[in-house]
Amino acid sequence: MAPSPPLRRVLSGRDTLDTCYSIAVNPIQTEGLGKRFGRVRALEGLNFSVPQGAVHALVGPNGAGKTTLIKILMNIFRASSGSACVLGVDSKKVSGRVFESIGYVSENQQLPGWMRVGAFLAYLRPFYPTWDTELEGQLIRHFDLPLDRKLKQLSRGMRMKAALASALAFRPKLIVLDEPFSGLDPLVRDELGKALMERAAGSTIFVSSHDLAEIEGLATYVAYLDSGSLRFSEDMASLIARFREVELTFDAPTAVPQDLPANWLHASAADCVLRFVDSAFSQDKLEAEIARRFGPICKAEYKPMSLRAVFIATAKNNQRAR
Amino acid sequence: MSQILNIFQKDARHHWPEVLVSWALLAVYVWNQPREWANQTVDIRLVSVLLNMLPALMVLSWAFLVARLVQGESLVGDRQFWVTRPYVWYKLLAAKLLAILAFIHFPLFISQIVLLRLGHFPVLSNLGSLVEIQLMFVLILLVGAMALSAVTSGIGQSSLALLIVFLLILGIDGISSLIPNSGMVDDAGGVQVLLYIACCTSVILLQYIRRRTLLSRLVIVGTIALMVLALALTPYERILRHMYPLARKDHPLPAKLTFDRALSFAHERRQPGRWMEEEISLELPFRIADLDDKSVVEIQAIRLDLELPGSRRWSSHWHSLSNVLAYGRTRTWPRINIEKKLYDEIKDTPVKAHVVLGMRLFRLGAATSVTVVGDRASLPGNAQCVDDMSLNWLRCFSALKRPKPVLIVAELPNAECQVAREATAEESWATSPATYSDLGSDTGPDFDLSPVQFFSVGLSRFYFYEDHEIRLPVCSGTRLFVSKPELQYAVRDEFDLGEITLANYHATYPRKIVPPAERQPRAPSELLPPRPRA
Repeated sequence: MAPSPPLRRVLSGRDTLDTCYSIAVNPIQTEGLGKRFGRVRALEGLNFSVPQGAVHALVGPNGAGKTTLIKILMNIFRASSGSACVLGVDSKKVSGRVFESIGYVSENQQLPGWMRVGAFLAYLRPFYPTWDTELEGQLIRHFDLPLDRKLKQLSRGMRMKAALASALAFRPKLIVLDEPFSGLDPLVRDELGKALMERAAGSTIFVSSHDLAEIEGLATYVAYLDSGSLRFSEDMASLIARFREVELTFDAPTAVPQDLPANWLHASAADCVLRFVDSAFSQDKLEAEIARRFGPICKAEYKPMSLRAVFIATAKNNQRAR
Repeated sequence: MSQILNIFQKDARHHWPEVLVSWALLAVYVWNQPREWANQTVDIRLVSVLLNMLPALMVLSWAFLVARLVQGESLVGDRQFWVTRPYVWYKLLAAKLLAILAFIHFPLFISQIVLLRLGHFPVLSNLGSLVEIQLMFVLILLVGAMALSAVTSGIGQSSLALLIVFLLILGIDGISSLIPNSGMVDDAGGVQVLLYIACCTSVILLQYIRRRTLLSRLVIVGTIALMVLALALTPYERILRHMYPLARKDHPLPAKLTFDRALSFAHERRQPGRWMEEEISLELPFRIADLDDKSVVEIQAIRLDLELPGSRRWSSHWHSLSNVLAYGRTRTWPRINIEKKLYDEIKDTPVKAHVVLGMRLFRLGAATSVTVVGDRASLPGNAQCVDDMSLNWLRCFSALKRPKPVLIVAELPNAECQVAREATAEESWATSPATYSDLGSDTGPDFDLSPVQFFSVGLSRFYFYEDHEIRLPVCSGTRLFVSKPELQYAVRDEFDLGEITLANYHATYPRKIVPPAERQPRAPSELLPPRPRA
C-alpha cells in the first residue's frame, strides 16, 4: 500500500521512505524488531506483518510484550534493534500527520478528564481532514455517549466507548487497539466488538489481547507472542485447521512413547488411550505416522480446537520448553 | 494555523481560572504602583505584606500557568492521548507560545503601557524598550519555566524540580563564594546565562520534537555540571589583571595616590568584641593628587597581600569597591575585610602590606544645570524627582531605566539650604562638594516588572578627612550640576605600604582619627538652626 500524499510530505528520510515504501504492501510490517529495557529483553527478532484489511489479533500472556510492540509501532517507544513500518512509514517517524490515518485506543491511555465528551469530540474534529460527522453521530448514538458529561466522570466502559468513537469517526486506514476490552463487562465488550466490525469496515485492525474469547469472533489473523518472541502469526482459518486434539485408543494399556514428533504437544497416556495436540495437522500424514509408530490401533479421533485451547496448548508447550 | 488556534482555544477554556488569577494579581500591581510612587502605605498589616509580595506572587502565578499550559499536553510519559493524535510538534509548541503570549506577555505589556501613562512618561518612544523587557522575561523566566514543565509531568513534580533548582542555585552561589575572585568577573556570569538559555531552549525543543525526557533531564544535569565547571575553571586572577592592566603611556594613572602613613584610627577604650563577627573591616588612608577637574575615578577593586610572621603570606584576593573620586577629593579610604581570627593574631604586629587597586577613569562631559523648583526637579534622561525631606534625598522616577552613568554635584550646604546643627557639630567639611554618582553602564532597559524605575538621589558631602560622609538636604532653588561621565579605560595601581600595624586601620566607634582634624571656620549655613522635619 502506498503512503498517501500527506504521509509522503511528513517523511523526511528518503532511505527510510524507500525501505518502508518497498516493503509496505502491508499496513504493519516488522523486521527483526527488538526492544530492551536495560537488561530486560522485552522483544526479540520480531518478523511479522498485518495484511491489508485484516482484523489481526496479537495474543499472548501478560508481560509477553504486546503493549511494547504496539508502543513501538505508534512511536511511543523506540526499537532497540530491527525496524517496523506502519502505513509505509518507518515507525520512528510515525507522528503528526501520519496519525490522521491511524486510530489508536489503549486501555491505559490518559484522556483529558476535564473535557466533556462532546467537547472532546469537537476538539479532535479539526485534527482530521477525513472526520465524518455523520459517522460520529452514529457512534454517539450507538454507544449512547453522554455528551455533556466529563470524561473523568464516565465509567471505564463508557470512557473506552468515547475513546473508540474518537478513533473511528475519521475512518482511519489502520485501527490499533491495545487491550481494548480489558476489565469491561461482557455486554460492553460485545457492544464494542460489534461497533468495531460494523463501523470500521475497510480499515485494517490490529488488536492486542490476552483474552482469546474476546477476539475469537473478530480476528481473521492471529499472532502469538510469548516472552518477547513471536511463536506464530497466521490467518485464523489455517491456525484452527493446523491444530487438532488427537485421541488414540489402543487395545491394551499404553505409555507415552519416547521421541515423539515436535508437533505432537502435551502427550499423555491413560489406560488404553494416548492423547496429544498435533500442531501441524494433516490427516494423511498423521495417520501415516500413527501407523508407522503404533501399527493398527482401535480408534483415532481428531477434534478441532478452539482458539483458547490452541493458545493454552502453545503457551504450556513454551513454558515446558523454557 | 487552525491546529494552533484549536489547541489555544482548548487551553483558554481549560485554564481560565489560572489566567484570571494572574490577571487579577497584575491588576492589583498596576493599582498599587502609583501608591508606592507616592509613598502611600496600607495600614492593614496583612494587606501591606501581600502587596510587598505581589511581584513574587505574579512571577509564581505565571510559572504555574506556564506549567499548566505545557503539561496540558504532557511531554513526559507514554500514556497521553495526544501523542497518538495528529499533533504537529511545532504547531503544538506554537499554540503554547501563543497562549503564553496572550495570557502573560500581552497583559503585562498593556499594564506596562498603563504604568508609563500613569507616570506621565511617553509611551511611543519607549515601545522598543518595552518589547526588549518582554524578551528578557521570555529568556530569563518563561524559558526556564517552560523547560522545567517540559521535563515534569505535574505541578507536584514541577514544584519539586523548582525547589531542586533553587537549592542548586544556592549551592552554586555557595561554591562561587568559596572560589577566590569569582564574584569580581562578570564574563563568567555571561557564560552562565548563555548556558542557561541554551539548556532551556534545547530541552524545550528536544521534548517537543522527540519527547526524550531522560535525555532532556540529562541535558539539565549536564548543564549544571558545566556551570559549576565553568565557575571553577575560569582564570579569574588572569582576567582581573587583564581587566585592570598596569598603567602605560597612552593609559596613564588618572591620579596620584599615596598611602598616608600619618593617619590612623585611635581606639579610645577597649572595644567589647562582637563574638559573632567573623570579619574585621580595615580602612586604608590614601592621599589623592593630580586629579583632573574633568575626570572621575572609580576605585572598583582592591586586593591586600600581607607578609605574616614566619614567612607566611595572606591574600584577601580581589574584592569589589565603589569609591568615587571626583572634583575636589584629596583623600580616599579603600576598605578591605580580613578574617577576625587572623586579625586578632596579628593586629598589633607590624606586617608588610601590599595593596592593588583596580580603577576606572571617566571623562566628564558638559554639565547641565538643573534647579530644584519647589520640591521638584527634572534630571536629564527624563527623570522626574520629588524632594523627600524626611530622608534628605530626591525620590526620582524614570522610564524603563535609571539615568547612568551620571554624576551630580551641588554646592551644599549653602545659605538657602539649611542643615541640621548637630550634623556639623564636631567636624568641618572637606573641600569637595556634595555629590551623587551612579557609574553603572548604560546597558538598555532595567529588567523589572514596572517600566517606571524608582531611584533615590542623595547628595553626600565628606567631612574633613573624607573617611565618612553625610547626606545633605536639597531645597527649592538648589542648583544641581548633572554630567554624564564617559568611560575611558581601566588601570591598576600597586602600592607597597611597607610595615603597617593593622589595628591602626580598624575603625572603632566613636570614629577617631589621629592626628585630629583642625576645626575650620564654619560657613554661615552650618550655623543655622536645625530645619524642621516634614
